[in-house]
Order: sequence, then structure tokens, then C-alpha cells
Amino acid sequence: MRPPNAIDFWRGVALVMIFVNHIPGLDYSLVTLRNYAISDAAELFVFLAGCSLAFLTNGSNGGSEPKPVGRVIMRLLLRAFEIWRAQIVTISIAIAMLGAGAIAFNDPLLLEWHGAGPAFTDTVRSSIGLALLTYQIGYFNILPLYVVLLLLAIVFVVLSRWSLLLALVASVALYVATLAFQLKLPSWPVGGAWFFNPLSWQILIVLGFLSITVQRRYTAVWHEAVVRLWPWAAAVVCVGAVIVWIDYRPDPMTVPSPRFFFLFDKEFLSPVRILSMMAVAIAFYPAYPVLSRQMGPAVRYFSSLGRNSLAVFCVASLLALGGQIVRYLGEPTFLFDTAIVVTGLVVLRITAWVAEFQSSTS
Amino acid sequence: MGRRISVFNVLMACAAVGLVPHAAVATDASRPAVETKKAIEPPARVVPLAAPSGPAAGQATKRSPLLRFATPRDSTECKVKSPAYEGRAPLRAVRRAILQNRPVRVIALGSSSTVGVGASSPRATYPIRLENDLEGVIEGLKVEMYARGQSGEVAEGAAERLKIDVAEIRPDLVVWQVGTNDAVARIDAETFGSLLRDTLAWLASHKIDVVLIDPQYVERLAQDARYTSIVNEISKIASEKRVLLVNRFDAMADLARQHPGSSYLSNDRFHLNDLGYRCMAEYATRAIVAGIIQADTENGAMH
Repeated sequence: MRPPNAIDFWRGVALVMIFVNHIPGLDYSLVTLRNYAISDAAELFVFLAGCSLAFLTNGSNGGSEPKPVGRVIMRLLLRAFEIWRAQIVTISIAIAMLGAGAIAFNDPLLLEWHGAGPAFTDTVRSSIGLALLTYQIGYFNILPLYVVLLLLAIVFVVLSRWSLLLALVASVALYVATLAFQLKLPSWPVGGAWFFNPLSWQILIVLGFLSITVQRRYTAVWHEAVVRLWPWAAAVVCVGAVIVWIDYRPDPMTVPSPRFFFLFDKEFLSPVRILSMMAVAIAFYPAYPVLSRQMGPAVRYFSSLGRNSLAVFCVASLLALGGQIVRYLGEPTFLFDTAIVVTGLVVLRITAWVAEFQSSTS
Repeated sequence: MGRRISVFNVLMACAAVGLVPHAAVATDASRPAVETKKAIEPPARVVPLAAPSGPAAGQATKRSPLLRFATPRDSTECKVKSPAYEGRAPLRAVRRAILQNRPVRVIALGSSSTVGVGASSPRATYPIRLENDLEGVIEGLKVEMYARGQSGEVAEGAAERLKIDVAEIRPDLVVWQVGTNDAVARIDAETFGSLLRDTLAWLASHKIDVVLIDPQYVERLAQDARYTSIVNEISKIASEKRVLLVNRFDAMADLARQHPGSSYLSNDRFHLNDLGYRCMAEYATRAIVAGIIQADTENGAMH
């Protein structure tokens, strides 16, 4: 078990925010990122996944001792498979929870939640879609994104072996083409497209990967850049908070074309969301050392979640669904919601402990 | 549920039940008798709609008929006692598109009902049926239907997506099935209402017609305060914003009473089946036809 670090800590924070945000109507969502920034916990989670990628592919020091390309590709493929497997298990349990709830409470409405309907009414095609990741239900659509991002990351990591700039240019080119031509991955059997478009979201994982790689290879330059950029990042964070507070959103009918460059769109990850995420990352970069000194137990708690992010994410998603069902069947009050959140936080910590216990014995 | 009965609703219900010419009369008492006469002149079940006002604006008698309406389909199985729709709102953009001889672009936005969960085939889903019904009712009309169904989506997400879709498609009409998932997710009626108001205001600012469809009726939740509060909020806002509202909740409640075996529901007892979608499309068709006629009765007021 590695000691707490900034990436694990912030990833743990992102996981808790995702858990809270996935229970609509909770007052506790007021303390999550989406109420203070144009980006939200999903962006933070993916960006930090990119940071972790640097350690996965470049070695534990993040950049100075790159691992053999063949081994890196194999690790990424295995990781993608692991996440695919987690998605299948998690979404299957979610669908089972809805089905069980519908039977136990004689309430067919539960079968409808978050687009689970086709799983019950069009089982044949939906089961194929589940395996292909083209059938996703609401709040269970981040892991499919993550699978595709890891597969795309193979290309960018290989390119980065020649040049970090080349990897960045390739990522930006794909991102720009995706927004300009509205490239999408189709959903099936339900029409439409993926809730998170991997072709645009890939840029965030590449930015995370490059951030850590550059930090480890060119530490002095990196540090100087962060110091210089910090005031600007803080200003962007403040402006973003004001924009969110006044609830401003660009009007899609009046922005220039290609419009996704100018909107706050989440599916395509409009540039302003990337800017917001990078500003948040830089602005809060110096915060971790302070927090680790002042709030040791909290840092250890969140870091433990972040260290075991996949298991914790899966359990958090299911807990959130359970929380929604309980709120639907009961009468939500602040106390009731508090009980849901506290229970969730405890279960997530237990999940992290079990995951660490399991890895220590294997 | 005091909102449900009004003289106007009764009049609109009478119109919707099958007599479009009567709907035109009912919605505008001052409409000249000549208009009614025009309704009689064409072959049975076909009604001409007046052309837009020209130099003789305000003199409906001078208008020349350009469009012909057949009576909307009125299946026996879909007949209900409650009005199929409520409100008195002109669909000016739709009328303009018709008179410009171009296809009417319609976005059908909603959740599982728009996706067609429970339908036996894509052709049996409500957007396709609505498209066919409208084309069957209005002579020469071509509808370009864009079904944007997203199962389980609450209004917050749907509103964002709606704006993007509207910017892409530039529709004349948005048929928005709204509220079911918000009611299920226990979204506060006030929060939901605020969002709906903002989105309707945005659509109005871009001169796009709207027809709302309220939540699905579910027997177990018929008396659920939170569920019905969303239903009532939609009705209140539709009235406030002068938007046509298809009374799916009441209509389905009537259907449930008339067909205790729930023959309009699929096996899960929640989603509609082919018959349910047919009824939904019929109700929406009636509302849209009434809205076009209303636009015409307002003497061709154009955006």
C-alpha cells in the first residue's frame, strides 16, 4: 500500500463528489465542484486518470524510466479489459437492483430509471449492447468512456515515446476534428450517442498524462511554469465560479459554428470545460501539502479511496443508485439524506480496505 | 386537480374528439361564418385552412384556402372522457412552414416513450405515428420528424440537450414529453418548474412552437403527492406560458378505467405498447392541428 499522495487524494475527493452528484436532489451536492466551476467531478476524475497513466506506462517515477512499449501496450489492454469487466458487473447489478426493487415494491416505474427500460423490454439486443458498451444507462456511463480512453491512450503513449509534443498535437487534432465534425460513438440498441464522447474526452487523459510526464522529466521548468500560471489559474477559477453562480450558459442558437467550441457542452467536452479543469488543477496544486499537514485523517481517508478507485467507483455508483431508490420509496428529508451520505462514506472506506486487503494477499 | 375542468377545455375536447371545423369555431367565437362554410364546401372530412393575411388583413372572408385538413384519426380504443389536450396556443411557426410549402421540422423530445420502449417495431413508436398522422391529416404536408428520446432523462439534462438539438435542426415545433422521470427522481416541483419555464421562454425567444406532453399515468402513483405535483406544475406552466399541453396523465387514467386489463400497456405494466403509442400520437395530433387552426384564427399572425 502506497502512502497518501496528491493524485490519490484528489481522486478520492472526485469519487465522493461523483457519489453525491449521482443522487439527484441531495443538498450535499452544493459542496461539489459543479456548483463552483464549469467543469465537474467527471473531468477531475478523467484528468487524474491521465496522471495515473503516466505512472502506469512510465514507471513509478512517472517519466524518467519509461517501460518497454510492448509491455506498456499489454498493461493498457489488460487495464481496459479490467475496467470493461467492472462495467459489465456493475451495470448488471444496477439493472438487477432496479428489477428487484420493481418486484419487491410492485413498482414498474423502477424498470424505467436511467434508461434501464430496454434491458427489460428488449433484452436480446440490450445484452449485446451491454457487452459492446453501446448500451449504457444513466450514471453508469463513465467506465465505458474510460475503456475507450485507455485504448486510445495506447496510440498517444506510443507517440509520446518519440515526442511529447507529437502526442499532444495528435490528441488536439482528434479533439478539434471531433468538435468540428461532431464525430460521435453511436449508442445501440437505443439511438443517439455516448453520454461522454471518448473522441473528445481523450484530450483530458492526455493532458493528465503529459502533465505528470513533463513534471517528472523537466521538474524545474514545470515548477516555474506552475508558479507563473497560478495567478491566472486562480483568476479563471474565480471567473468560472461567478459564471456558474449567475447560471450563465451560451445560447446554442447564437454562438458561431462549429458551436461546440463555444458552448459548455459536457458530451463533447467544450474547450471552456478543459480550461476550467486545468485552472482548477493548477490553482489547487499547492493545496495538497497544506491539507496533508492540517487534515491528516481526511487526507488518509480520501487517499485510500483514490488508491482503490476502480472498486470504490463501482461501489459508489451502486450505492448512489441504492440511495436514489431509498429516497424514491421513502420521504427524503435532510436527516434522511445525511444518513444516506454517511452510510455511503463508510461503505466506500470499507470497500477501499477490502480492495487493499485483497491485493495484499494476492 | 382543479385545473382539469374548464369551459374552454370542454370546448377543446369537443373539437378534438373529431370535428376540427368545430375546433376552429370553438377557439374563436368571432370567426366569420364564411370560415365555417368553407369547412362544409370540401369533400367530407376535409377542411380548408385560410391563407395568411394579405392586404386585407383582418378580413378572413378575403382569404383563399390553401390547406386542407382531414379530421384527425379518432380510434375507438383511444377515446377518453377527459380532454386529450388543453390550452389555446397558436402554432405560428408550423403554420408558416406549411404555407411556405416546406417540410415542417418537428423534434420529439422525451424519455422512454419517445424512444419507443415497449413498441413492437420502430414504426409503432409514437414519433413515427405522429409523423404519419399529421401527414394524413394535413393535405400535402411533409413532416421531418427528429425523435430525440433518451430513456430515463430528467428535464435538466433534456433541456440542455434540447437546446443543442434545436440549434442543429432549427425545428418549427418541439413536442416535449416532460416530467415523468423528474417525478420518479423526486425532483422538487418548484425546481422542475423553474427549469421548464426557462426552457419554454428560450424556445419562445427563438420563435419555436411547443407542445408539451405531461407524465405517464401510473395507478400506484395516482395519489402520490410528489408525482401529481409535477403533473400539476406542468399544467400550470403550460397555461402560464400559453403552450398546448397533451393531457397524457388524464387520458391514460381514463384509458385505465375503461380498459381494466391495461391493454394499452406493455408487459412491464408501465411502458406503452403499440396501442398506447397510437393513442398518444392521436392526442398529440389533435393538439397540433388545433394549434395550427388557432394560428390561423389569429388572422395569420406571423413571426
